[in-house]
Amino acid sequence: MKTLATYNIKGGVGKTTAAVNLSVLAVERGRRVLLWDLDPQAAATFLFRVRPKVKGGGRRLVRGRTPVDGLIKGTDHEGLDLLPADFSYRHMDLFLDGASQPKRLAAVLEPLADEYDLVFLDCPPSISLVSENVFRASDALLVPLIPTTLSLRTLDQLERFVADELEDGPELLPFVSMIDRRKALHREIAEELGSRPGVLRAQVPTATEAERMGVHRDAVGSFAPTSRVARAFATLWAEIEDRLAL
Amino acid sequence: MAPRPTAPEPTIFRGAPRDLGPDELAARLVADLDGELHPACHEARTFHDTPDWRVHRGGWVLETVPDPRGEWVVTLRDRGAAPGLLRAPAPAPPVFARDLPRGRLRDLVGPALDVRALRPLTTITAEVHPVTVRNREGKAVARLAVEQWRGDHDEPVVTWVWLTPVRGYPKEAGRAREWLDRAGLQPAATDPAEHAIESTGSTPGKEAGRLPRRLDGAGPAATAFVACFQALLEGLEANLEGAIEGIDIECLHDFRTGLRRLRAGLAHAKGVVPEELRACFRPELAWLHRVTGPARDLDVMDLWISLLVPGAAGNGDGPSPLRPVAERVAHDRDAARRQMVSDLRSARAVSVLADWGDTLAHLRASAHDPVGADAGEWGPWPDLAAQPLTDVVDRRIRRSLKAVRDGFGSARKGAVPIEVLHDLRKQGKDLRSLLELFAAAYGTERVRDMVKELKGMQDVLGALNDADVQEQALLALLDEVGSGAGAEEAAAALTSLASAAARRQEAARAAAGPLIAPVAARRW
Repeated sequence: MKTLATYNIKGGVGKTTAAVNLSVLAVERGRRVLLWDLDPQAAATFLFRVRPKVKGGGRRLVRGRTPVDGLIKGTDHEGLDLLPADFSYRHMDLFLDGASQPKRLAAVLEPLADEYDLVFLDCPPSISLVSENVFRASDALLVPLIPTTLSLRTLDQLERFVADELEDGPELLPFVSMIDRRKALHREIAEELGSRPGVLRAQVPTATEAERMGVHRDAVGSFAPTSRVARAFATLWAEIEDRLAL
Repeated sequence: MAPRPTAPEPTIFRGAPRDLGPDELAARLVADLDGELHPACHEARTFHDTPDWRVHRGGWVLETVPDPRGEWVVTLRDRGAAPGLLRAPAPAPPVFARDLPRGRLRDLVGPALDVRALRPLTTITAEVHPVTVRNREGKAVARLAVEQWRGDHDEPVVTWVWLTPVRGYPKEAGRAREWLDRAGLQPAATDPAEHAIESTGSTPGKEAGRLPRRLDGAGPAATAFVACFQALLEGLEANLEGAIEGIDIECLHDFRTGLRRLRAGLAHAKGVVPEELRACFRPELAWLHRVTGPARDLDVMDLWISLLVPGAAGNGDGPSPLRPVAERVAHDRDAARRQMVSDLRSARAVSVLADWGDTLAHLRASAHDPVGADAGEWGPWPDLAAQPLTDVVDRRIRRSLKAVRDGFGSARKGAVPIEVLHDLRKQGKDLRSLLELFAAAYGTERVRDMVKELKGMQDVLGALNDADVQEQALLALLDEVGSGAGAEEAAAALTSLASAAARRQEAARAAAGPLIAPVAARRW
């Protein structure tokens, strides 16, 4: 079982959009996938039409008192299951308190190792104890970057953190997200990012189809399979599969 | 078997009322369960397995269906469960592990297939009516499919209803199950795949050529010999087409193993079956064994070289000085195979197996009580036919064991010629065949350890033999290397391979003694 997290310190960069679309693509390619919506905003949970509720609350889950097995919900995509978000996740830092337990999220997932090929963690924006747990639970971080100067800076910060603070940390897979090619700055920064080692080549455009996921409550591939953004996610997933030898 | 998901168990139901069409049944489901009916589709579904049922034995069903885009996809599911374990693009048959799409399908099924090929077993056509039950959020909470199989003339054959619960929504699946129960449907006793395969006359999982599991050691020897011969004939027949078509190299291997056992059995049937019968069939079976030998040797060599040459067996691409060698071996193997196919299709081969089948049919009629009876057209049964099986076989085993012991004695005398070791290998095969043929009369416990030791001995002597054959073949190829482009590299590669084969022989010789000694020390 490989664990991939969609992560960025910043919000609104397309983490949930990526997690939902990539998990559906992974299932379509024969993987058994679990998506864990760690964001108390519960956007991924909403998109999969699941009630944002974890029986017993987040604290009991991450402390191993509620078995994860009974909390998982199937989605409309056979083979893709969801561990829903819960509003109590807003206190996740408190649940994970104490630096001596930085592997609690990994421990929650451990019993599922034979059941899934891939786990996607859809993370809330921040750099916190949650993030550190996510880093330790993940084999790779998928880092969506809107091509702006600030994005470059946050990528630098993330790279430094992973290199300095973690031994044997996850592989970083940054990719350009929500690029608007009408904007010169986007084009310039995207080009700069493209030349940076490790950055994935596929670029996900900003698109109304991505916004309409909330209306259809599904991945773009399900209602606009030929759209640019659907094709971009397919290319991105193929590249991720290659990079991680999935 | 690989670990299975702990997701809810899907169920397959049968027993829909005969007067209810699949569309009507689906419509009732939709109305009563507040479901959504998807457009009906017609599917041609083909079930696949290896000739020795590795998919079935793994607990799976592997089927290919065309998807709505017109491409073929392969679906793997647990037997008795609804589809959903995984789907992937389907390669064209015959399909080896290396041909499976990279990913879970290959990871899961590949090791079980090993070197065996998947082949299509049967195709059914089905009219499918999918239904999704949704909750108030519009979310799928249970999936059903009403599926009616149609016959050659489009007549309804059987109706199945597949219920796949969605994880986390057990109540909704329970409602659907109750509905099906009220409608008179029951969980199916057999998987649809088994149903389809059985309708072709095959028995899923039945290993053709499997020797009898029970033999009466105190009963007439003739009965047991004939029962073994019959099982071996069925194995030969089951593997013949696979060997001819070259589905995978194991079909030929299994065919030859069956032949070897049959020849050994017939050799040891002296005094048990009429001598004229033995005199008629032994040379013919030896001929069959002989004409299939070169193709098998080259199959083994091709397999060995393919492991060394990138791209030769789908194991990656890249230049290699061994590539011309691999191509030459493949060419020779193809030529040997063509000759073998011609021989196996010949009137002589066809009549050997047909006559052997007829003969066994006649022998079976009187083998249970051979005293004073005729063995079909072959005259009266000989004296030993009526003797207790173990009395007869015990003597054969002792004699065969002594031959191994004597052979081992000769083989221990320093650097013996390889022919001595080849003879010892054949003596070991003969003994093993005897033990395996009649193991059921002695109980597997008594025979198992000795067979295991014999296998160890044969493996090492077989490796020695294979390496010897390969070294000779490589040196012969070296003689043919010309002076054109790449000749020097090819010669160097051949020399390297021949040296490797020679080293493997040395290693096998060094390992042989300790593996043969326990067999030679055995008493029966």
